[in-house]
Amino acid sequence: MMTKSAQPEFSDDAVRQFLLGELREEKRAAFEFSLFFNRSLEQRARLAEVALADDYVKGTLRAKEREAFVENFPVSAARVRQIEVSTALHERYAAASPSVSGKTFASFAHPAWKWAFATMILIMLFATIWLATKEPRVVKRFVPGRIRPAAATTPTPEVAHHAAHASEPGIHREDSPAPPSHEAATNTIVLDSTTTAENALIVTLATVHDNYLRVQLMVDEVSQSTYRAELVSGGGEVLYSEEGLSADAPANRVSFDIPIEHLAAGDFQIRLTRTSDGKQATYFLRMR
Amino acid sequence: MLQKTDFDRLLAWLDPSPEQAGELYEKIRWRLIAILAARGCRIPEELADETIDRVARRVRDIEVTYVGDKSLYFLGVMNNVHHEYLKRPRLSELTSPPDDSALKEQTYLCLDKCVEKLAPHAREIIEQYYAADKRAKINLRKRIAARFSISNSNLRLRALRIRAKLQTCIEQCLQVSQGELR
Repeated sequence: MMTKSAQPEFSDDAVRQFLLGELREEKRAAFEFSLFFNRSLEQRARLAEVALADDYVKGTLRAKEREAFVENFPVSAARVRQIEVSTALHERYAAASPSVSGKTFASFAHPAWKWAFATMILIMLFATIWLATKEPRVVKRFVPGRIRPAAATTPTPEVAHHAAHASEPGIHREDSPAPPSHEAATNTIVLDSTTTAENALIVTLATVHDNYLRVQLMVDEVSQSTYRAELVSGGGEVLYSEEGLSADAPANRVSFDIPIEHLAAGDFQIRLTRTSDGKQATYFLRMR
Repeated sequence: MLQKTDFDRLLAWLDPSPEQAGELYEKIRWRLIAILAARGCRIPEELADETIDRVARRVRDIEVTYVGDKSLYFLGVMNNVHHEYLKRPRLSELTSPPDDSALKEQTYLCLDKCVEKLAPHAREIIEQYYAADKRAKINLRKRIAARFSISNSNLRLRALRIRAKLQTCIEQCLQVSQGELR
């Protein structure tokens, strides 16, 4: 038997749990006994009752508390009146504040909304990271051209503008920031036929130090056939062509040397035709 | 049905002072209701009143011989009443309160009256405590707390105490107004 002098202390959470009918049975018996002898506990419980009614009306109860509140709290006329008074107080003095009816779920102060927004933000964050990682080509569409790296050309036959696999879209890969175009010497570039005109590789003419620009054209498969390559201007005029080109087996590339005098600022296409079956691929290039 | 004499005897047994007895009676009733509600009882007021009625009827027999805390006697009787309740077949016990717009209107009138009766600083606390949305309220609370030189947690406690007083005042006001209507 519990004595008056051996009354346990109860936290504020325990008081709320008691009022919501959520306190475990073994603890509840001690609480009930204390309620008769511990004046302070009774005071706290009375205030907690008021606070619960307020919190319910404000919509700040946690989902589990709210469920317990609806189920177990309004079981006496006094408590129902408490909720009514809380509602009246809230409506009277919080009229200027948006969305405060405790009976509606549409309160953005409700924890469920907070979780929903937090989850949504996390999903958007992860989706952005995934998109930027997996689909940089898509991301590039949204990045203004003026902030793109000026020159993707490199002084070595480095793959800078093609997919690792022929079936993948052409990707402008840069392992390190490109140097300013006027400083980087450009002799060789690599083009992929899956790259669109909008995403054409930009080459600064001033950076081409040799008499020709070597263009390595990626092909889907290496064939024994020879190739014909044509440099076509934006207006469709064939400016330069070369026949009898062969593909480099391990790299799946056809090298096409374009004399510098045929290049000027503007958009160009390079048409590559396989001699054996006439199959064509088009590559885009922008000079400036 | 409880006789008036039994009820008067109960109050006298609780405390010789009628005022003190009335206060103690209300406290005991509140505790019984809170306990029964916490046990999941759907009609705690009914069982609390049944408990009080039974105690009142027995006071004549026990008032001379009973030793100990009188409140505890209520707890024992309440346990019996609750036990019987649990054995009862479950009927539909919960009835939704009628949507009484007149009562709601009266509640608002009583709220205004009771707020008017508060001391100026208490009125200010209660008005501002309920005044704004959550974020603004935090700032307001800081301001009010600073103004009255109390901590934020004390402010909440004070506001809840004022709110509890308001509750009592509003209930009394409603009783009076309902009596006037009858």
